[in-house]
Amino acid sequence: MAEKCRSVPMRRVRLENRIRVFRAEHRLTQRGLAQLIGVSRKTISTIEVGRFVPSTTIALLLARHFEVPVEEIFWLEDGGSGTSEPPASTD
Amino acid sequence: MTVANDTMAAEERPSPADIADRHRRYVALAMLAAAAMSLANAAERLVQPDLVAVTAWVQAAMVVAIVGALIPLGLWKLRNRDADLRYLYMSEDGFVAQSLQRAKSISWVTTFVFLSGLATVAERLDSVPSEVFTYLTTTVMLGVFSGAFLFLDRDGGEVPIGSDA
Repeated sequence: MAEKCRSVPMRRVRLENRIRVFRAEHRLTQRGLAQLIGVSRKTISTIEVGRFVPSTTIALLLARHFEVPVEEIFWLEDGGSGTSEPPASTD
Repeated sequence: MTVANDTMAAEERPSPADIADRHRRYVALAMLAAAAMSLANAAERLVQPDLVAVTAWVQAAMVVAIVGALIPLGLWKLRNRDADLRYLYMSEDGFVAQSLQRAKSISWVTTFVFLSGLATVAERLDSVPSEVFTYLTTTVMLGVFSGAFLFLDRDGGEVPIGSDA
């Protein structure tokens, strides 16, 4: 198990997300989702475009709202080598 | 269907988080007005006496702007005493709250650099009243704070349903 772990410098990883996809599936606007989890519309929009890294609380609130593990919404992308960790399936 | 109904109901009124963001923007604008007022104070001590009346008007306008920007904040707090609403309002988790924190940091560093620079040139500026330096420092501190916040808070635009790739 330990040999499968690979070290990636912090500066190379980027937090990606699938909030927009989940929003579309649930037919939610940014404002609607923001209201349902108790944050502002701006917070949702900046998380979606990768401009703002959400707190653990917000990430868990999103996961709880969509009833999926947090890893299905957020994952780390390795920007240095061009490879990425595939997100878990939403099925 | 239930989710859609919940959403429609939720969207009818601004959330405490949105109100908090709006109030944070008002505070930043009030700081911008305060910076302008401080600059006017500094100018008042450097310009001709006949221009003092103009700077006095500028200051009066800025005071009105500051008070006007902060009134909604006080009114909201008076109307909403519910603990849950207050928790959402005070939460520092959001983008705008974080931008405000970053703007404070930028302002602190800039003010420190400005004061360091001022310390080196102040000895050569004996003719300038000392309070001018105080007003200029205040101007830099508040101006950079509000300017940095407004830049960090620039709108990314709302992405509606259906525009996903």
